[in-house]
Amino acid sequence: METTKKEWQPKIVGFLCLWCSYSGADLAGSGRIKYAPNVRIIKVPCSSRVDPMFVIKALQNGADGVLVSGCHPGDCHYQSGNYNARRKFALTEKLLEIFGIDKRRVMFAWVAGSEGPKLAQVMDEISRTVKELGPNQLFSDKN
Amino acid sequence: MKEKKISEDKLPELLKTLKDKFLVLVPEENDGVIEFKALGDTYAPLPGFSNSTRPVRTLFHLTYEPMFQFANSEEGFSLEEIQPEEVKRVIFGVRPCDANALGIIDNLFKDTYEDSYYLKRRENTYIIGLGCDTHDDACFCTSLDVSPVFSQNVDLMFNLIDGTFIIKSNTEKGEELLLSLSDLAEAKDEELQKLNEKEEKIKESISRNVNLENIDSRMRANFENSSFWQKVSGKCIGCGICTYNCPTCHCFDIIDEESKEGKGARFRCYDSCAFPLFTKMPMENPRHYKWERVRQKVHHKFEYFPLNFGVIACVGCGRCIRQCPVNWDITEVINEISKPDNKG
Amino acid sequence: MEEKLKKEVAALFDEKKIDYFVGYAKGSLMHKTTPLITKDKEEALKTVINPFIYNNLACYLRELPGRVGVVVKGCDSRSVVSLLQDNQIFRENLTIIGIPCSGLIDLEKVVSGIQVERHEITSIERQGDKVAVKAGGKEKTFEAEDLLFDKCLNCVLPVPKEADIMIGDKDSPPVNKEKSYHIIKKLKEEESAERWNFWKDQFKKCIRCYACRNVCPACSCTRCFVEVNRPQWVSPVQKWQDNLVFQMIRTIHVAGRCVDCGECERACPASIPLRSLQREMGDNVKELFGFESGMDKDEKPLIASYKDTDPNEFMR
Repeated sequence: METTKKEWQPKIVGFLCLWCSYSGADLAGSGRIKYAPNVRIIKVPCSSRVDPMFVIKALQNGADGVLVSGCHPGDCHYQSGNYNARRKFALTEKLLEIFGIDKRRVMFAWVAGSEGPKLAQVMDEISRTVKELGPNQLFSDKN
Repeated sequence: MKEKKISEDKLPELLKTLKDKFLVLVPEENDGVIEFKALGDTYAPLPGFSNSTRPVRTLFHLTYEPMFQFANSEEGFSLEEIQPEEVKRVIFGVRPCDANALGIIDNLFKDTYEDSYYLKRRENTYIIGLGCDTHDDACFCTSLDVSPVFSQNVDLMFNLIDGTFIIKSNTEKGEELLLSLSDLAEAKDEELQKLNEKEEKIKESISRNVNLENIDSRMRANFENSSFWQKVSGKCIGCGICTYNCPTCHCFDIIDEESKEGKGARFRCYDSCAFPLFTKMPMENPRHYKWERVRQKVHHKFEYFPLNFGVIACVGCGRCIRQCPVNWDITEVINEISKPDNKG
Repeated sequence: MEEKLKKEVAALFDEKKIDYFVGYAKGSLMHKTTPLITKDKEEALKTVINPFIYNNLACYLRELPGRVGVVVKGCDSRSVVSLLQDNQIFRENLTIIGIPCSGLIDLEKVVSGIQVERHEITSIERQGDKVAVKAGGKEKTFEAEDLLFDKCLNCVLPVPKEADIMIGDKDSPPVNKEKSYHIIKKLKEEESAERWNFWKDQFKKCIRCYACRNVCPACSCTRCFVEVNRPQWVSPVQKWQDNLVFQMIRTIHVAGRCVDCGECERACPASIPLRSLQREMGDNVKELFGFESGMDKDEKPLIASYKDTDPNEFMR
């Protein structure tokens, strides 16, 4: 295949809250801000919709990294969704640590609808980090 | 063929000779679990009474195995059958109860449909039984007419008498195996006598028993006694230990696993009637409540299986009692059914 | 203590305060006990108290109708409180009979300590800080902390807090944090890749019998995510990947509910050290949010509540 010559590109799953982060991505797009194309975005109604098991399943099913993003604390469309989510995210990080998964593969971010540039930054950052970490071989039967 | 013998300390050597021709599996304790593992440099017998954590049938009817793989690409759809590898195996150290259980589930796997996965492995495996010297308080093989020192379903049977293994060949396969070994001395009559004495002694000391008198009619009469089943199933937590680790349970599920690229395989994997999801996929699990599922397990072993194949699907290995997190005891339940005044 | 319990239970039945009694009875195997669930007063009087009452009876409370009298140790009482917090059971239906606990004896430790199999051990007696074990001709005295379950050596609540009737006086097991944490400590010192490989090997042993989930009072979902097949979160095929993912998700789902009763580990037929996962998670919950499961029934559940001051620095 011709892609062998090209640099390896990580596949990253991004769970973006509909009200803020997803609008942030829209804004980044309409503002023509260039950012890494590695994140496949999944729109969720709120960051608290993201059960930690989504993150784990993404990693199991071959994602090299996971990004979860929602509204800043205080900005939640549903008042407190992101506060509840924050607890789960903190625990998810610990869970990865307990089982020995490099927690840099998973990133949690607050991105507001007005923060197009920040969204681009976050996208670049996780793409860069995961690229450095290399492909996710955790669930492979080979090693 | 007359019984042979070999001194206890020569056993590792004997197993080593077998290793040249076969994959030799022996029980090994590792990380709290006793498993049949490929023989390493030398064989070390496990101390005291021991039986593998999982029954030996798990080496024939695997926890999961692929049946075929498929691929869907631009060229079209392809399908490739997967059959088990044909490896000649010798399993040493199979307890008589577990060996008996293989004989019981053979009935099912070669019934109307011949299960090539199971039967091929059976064909390619030599079973060397190892008679029990002791037992623990969960064992109740004698109630099921299983001898603690012999089984009809082994190829060779080893029994330790005063530092010497008495070897009895039970099948043609066993004799073939025995002939391939360098000449072994013949066992003397008094040693065989001692073996009989040992058998009697163990049989006498097993105190747990299940009352199987008129078991089929008792079971049938009790089937609709829902308050009885509700009572005895109360403490059951509905996990799958007693079915997954039962030497005669054999339920399985069939699952397709497909990857994003359109490749995949069809797997057969264990399933348990203890789970609410059992048979839910094709239609519905007719047993909605825990007590119905517990009843099914007991009835399957003591009523339906005998009805179909003429043999009770229990060998008294005791795993379901020994490993149960809540000490649910099938012998208590069966014995309770016998009581004429039992109204639940 | 046992006599007092029997008296109390008889009184509860006589005064028609309970429909069901949930306690412990002598097991059918040497030294073991078994849960006793009954509507019958005479049957209920078979109840026992000894250092082998390891089952966490809170796991039965959701399925029992009517008013229930339940025997709890400290850790179990936390499970009850946790279920109350989650509105899974109702306080007015419960009569909680508390038993101050000085630690439970781990039969596996006894067996490996005296090198005699369980059924051949004739007596195991707890005398304060010591345990005397008799087997055949052998007799040996152990320090209690050598024979107690790991979880007991770092017990948070030896005396049930939420109890209507208390049987016995204040009691508590010896504390030895080092011993209680030996697996967690060992794993913490390792590189993350080694930790992953450790758990990977452990879950190759897993047979997915779901005993860990079914004994767990914190696992109170009516339909567990493994029983959902659209989408299929966990494949029923018992490969290590799915076994591991099942336990990972279970670990986080019971965070804030797990009370370190250690039942998952004890129930596991594959001897997977499950408790270390849950305990470490529990410690993290405490460190991050100052939340300890099952301490106060009026407290809100961990995930259903939040504070402005919750950790935020890990967020980008």
